Amino acid sequence: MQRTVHRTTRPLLAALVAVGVTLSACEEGPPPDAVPVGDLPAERRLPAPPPKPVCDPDAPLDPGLAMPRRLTRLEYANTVRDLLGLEVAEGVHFPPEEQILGFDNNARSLQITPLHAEGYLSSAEDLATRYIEAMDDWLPCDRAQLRVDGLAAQRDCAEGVIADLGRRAWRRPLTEAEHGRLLALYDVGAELEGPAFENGLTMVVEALLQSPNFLFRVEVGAPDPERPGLNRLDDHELASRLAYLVWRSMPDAELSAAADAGELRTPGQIAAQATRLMADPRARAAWWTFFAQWLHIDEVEALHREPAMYPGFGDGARRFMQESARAFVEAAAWDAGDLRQLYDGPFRHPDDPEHLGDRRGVLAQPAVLAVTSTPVMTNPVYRGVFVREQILCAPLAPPPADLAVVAPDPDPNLTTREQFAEHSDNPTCAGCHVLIDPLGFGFEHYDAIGNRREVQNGHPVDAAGEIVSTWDIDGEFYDLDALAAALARSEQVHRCVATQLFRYAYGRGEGEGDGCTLHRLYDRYVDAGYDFEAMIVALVTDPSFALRRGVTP
Amino acid sequence: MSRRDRRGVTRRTWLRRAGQAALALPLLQLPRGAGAQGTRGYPQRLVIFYQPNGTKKELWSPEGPSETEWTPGPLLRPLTPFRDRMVLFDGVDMKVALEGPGGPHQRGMASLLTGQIITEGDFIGGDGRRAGWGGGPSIDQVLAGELRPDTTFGTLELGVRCKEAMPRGRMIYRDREQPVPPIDDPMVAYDRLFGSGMGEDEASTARLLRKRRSVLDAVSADFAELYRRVTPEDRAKLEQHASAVRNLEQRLDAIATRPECNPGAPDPVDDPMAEAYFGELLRIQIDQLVAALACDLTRYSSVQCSTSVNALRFTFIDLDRHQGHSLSHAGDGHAALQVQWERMLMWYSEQLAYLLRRLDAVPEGDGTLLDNTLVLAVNELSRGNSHSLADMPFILAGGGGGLVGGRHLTYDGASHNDLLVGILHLLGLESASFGHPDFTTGPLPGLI
Repeated sequence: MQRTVHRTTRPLLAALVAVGVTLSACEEGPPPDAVPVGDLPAERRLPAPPPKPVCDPDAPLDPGLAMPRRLTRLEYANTVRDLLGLEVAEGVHFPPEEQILGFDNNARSLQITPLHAEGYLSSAEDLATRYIEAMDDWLPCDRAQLRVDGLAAQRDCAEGVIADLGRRAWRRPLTEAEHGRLLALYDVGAELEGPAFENGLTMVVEALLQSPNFLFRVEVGAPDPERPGLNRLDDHELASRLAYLVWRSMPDAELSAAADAGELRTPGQIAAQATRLMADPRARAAWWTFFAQWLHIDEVEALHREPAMYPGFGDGARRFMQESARAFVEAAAWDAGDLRQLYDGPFRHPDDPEHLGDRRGVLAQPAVLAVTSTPVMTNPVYRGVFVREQILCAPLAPPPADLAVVAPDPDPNLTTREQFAEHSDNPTCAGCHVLIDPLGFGFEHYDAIGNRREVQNGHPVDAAGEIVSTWDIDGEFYDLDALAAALARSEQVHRCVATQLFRYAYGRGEGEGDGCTLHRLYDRYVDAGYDFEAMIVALVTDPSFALRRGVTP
Repeated sequence: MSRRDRRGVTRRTWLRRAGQAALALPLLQLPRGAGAQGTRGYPQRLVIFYQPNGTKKELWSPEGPSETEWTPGPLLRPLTPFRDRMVLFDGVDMKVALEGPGGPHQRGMASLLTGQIITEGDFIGGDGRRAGWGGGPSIDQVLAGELRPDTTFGTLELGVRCKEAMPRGRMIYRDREQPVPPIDDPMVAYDRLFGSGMGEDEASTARLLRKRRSVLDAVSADFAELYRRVTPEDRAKLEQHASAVRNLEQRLDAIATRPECNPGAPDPVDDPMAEAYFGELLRIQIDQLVAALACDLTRYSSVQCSTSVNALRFTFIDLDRHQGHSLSHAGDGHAALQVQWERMLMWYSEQLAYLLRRLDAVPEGDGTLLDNTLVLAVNELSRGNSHSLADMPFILAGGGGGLVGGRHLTYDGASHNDLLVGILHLLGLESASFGHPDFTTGPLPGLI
């Protein structure tokens, strides 16, 4: 169904020319040109990519800070599962993480309030009790024999538990002082009323699980002799960095053994471990959190639709959206080995091919279509902002502080697109909305729960739009498939993937010193045919991954 | 803490509960530490009530010839029964929120209760710079930290639909860049406040306490070793944890010996984020907050009606198409939307009146809980459609700290920091200033 786009987009641009609004005011950062966009020849309206930083291999690195990172709720649960073989109890409540730059693992937001401390206390008590109750499954000593042999033998066995469980819980060998403190705690417990051995070990487990050494990943390392001013993480810190990136959980025995043996030093050694971890089923589950947060699919869980407009929308629909999105994203990221598929790869739902029919790209996934809508209708502004911020990494500034406009009250019997016409008709709005709405209009073939539609309120849907102010894909398009195809071939889009991965992996926003790291990630990814896993391996073997700015306590 | 099965309970049972008279209030015990509260005998509390996205000051400000002769503006009519127990402010500006990166909602939230300039961080702001969080502790946290009452919880933060975990969604700060998320699930709040006590009898409680103290002592010792290894920035992060552990240690007794003061559990709710039930959920949270104050579980509290901006639509009062934030942006000439915006603002006044009524329904001595509570009603903006931070719509209500009500105080561009200083003084903290030093000179003249 090819239609001409000029009918709808030309008047929009004409309006912009007429009022002479500038685009630059809406984009973050210094304005490139204060010239009305309409006055520029088309080829000059395309902002160039920022110049590549000088990244020769001998240039000094600036790997940034490595603020201690508290385990997120998810990481806590995963770690407890891998450490103790237990699930966190349902009634234990930890406050949700504050999301920075869209991710829940940003070091700056990961704090511990009194509410957290209460949660860690009750969770540690619950876990310790259950772990000790199941002692026969894991205790390295013969429990019946211990009862016969008496307190001294029990204490010897407890020392072994402290050393072994301690090093796994804290993800490094314990110091002598730490070992001594935990043993002293065991002694306090052993003197309480009741079974000495069990009481003593229960308290040890409670202390291990509430310690900053468990709850935080502290990365200090030691000065790198070859790089003045920088610290290189020690082997165990690096093993944790790797494991929490790929699994969002603690290192396994093999990774810990590699750290013990000093076999996480060369890029080859690190890559081999990373590849091994990536092959474990835990990796897909962990990386799904990256995609779900980046693409806002995690918002489906709390999604509401007005029953009057979308009767029957509920848990079933939410689950379907999540499963469909996950199946699509994982097929693109892992099975295809070509992340361009994420933007315009074909999709048929494996179990329910009729439901969605054939559609292309993650933007056509019901989950994405729904989280960028309101409870009653689609919202081209949300959808346009989503493309700019999440897909293009070209965030928009919020409306100016002195904005005082008469908000439109459009006729609900019009199409959504017509209802948003005010944004282009009103010069105050158009200055920024020209960057947003014409992108969002491209989604109009899909309603607020992601169902396909050709007609809205009796009017045919018009999903033509325009991409404005990107590095390399400015131009008109006639529907979402065409927008998706443009995104899939855009350098800006794929550099944005590297940026998003960087933020997630490092737990912080990219800084000026990170330009070369980002370039290297992108280059390796493109060289590998847009293989996302290759970008992950490039990330963990990048010189910056094992480094941090120096430490002067 | 209790493990309650949330499944299998329908929304209907929850709402039936909510539709009835609110949670039964507990029988009051004698106040702990009475006598340490000066002549009033009862603890003096603070409740901060937040509504988002500005108001219409011209329909808010009192009408009348003098400081004491006035009637509330139309938007505050629901508060008329409390006229003599309120102080309304005109001409108090949020000057400190004009500084720093970020948009007006972000700056407004970050400065509102901290009196500090928003920090630089990783959030997209309105001016090309990136916004961070509040630059210091909020007044409730300062009061708890300085006055250290012997209560189970130093402070209590409740809310409804506070899911925007970002600067424009957070107003309570433990310290610089340490936002405290409100609990916006009534069940979680109930479990924390009134959940089952710890030990089954005195002996087992004593044993539990001994065990917890030893464990937390061992945990505390871990910090000292870490501090030696890390940078000052890293250390600040770990100190937050150490401080939370210390705070927990101090409260162990109170937690283990939970008072027999329990309003009864609300029925489980499947989705505390549902916009249609916003009003009901808010009332449940207000009830729980009032019960916590009545039981003296905490003295410094806040209830946050969602976050600034937010996507909430007021379907429950039949404003069916527009989000509240959009309404707050209605142009002055748009009569139809202005009417809807005003109805929404009136609704918020009704909720504030509900809070005051509930506080006033709890007898304390010869008076009520409201007589011993200072309620501070705040908003992160003065006016939505201009994003103004001048002439903020602050209200003080109740008799906490001996506040003299029935007054309309007008200023010519006073800094809101000084209002916060005044609140500290009323509640017994004689601080010379609060927040950023450039914006504070002492308690707001005429308040006390």
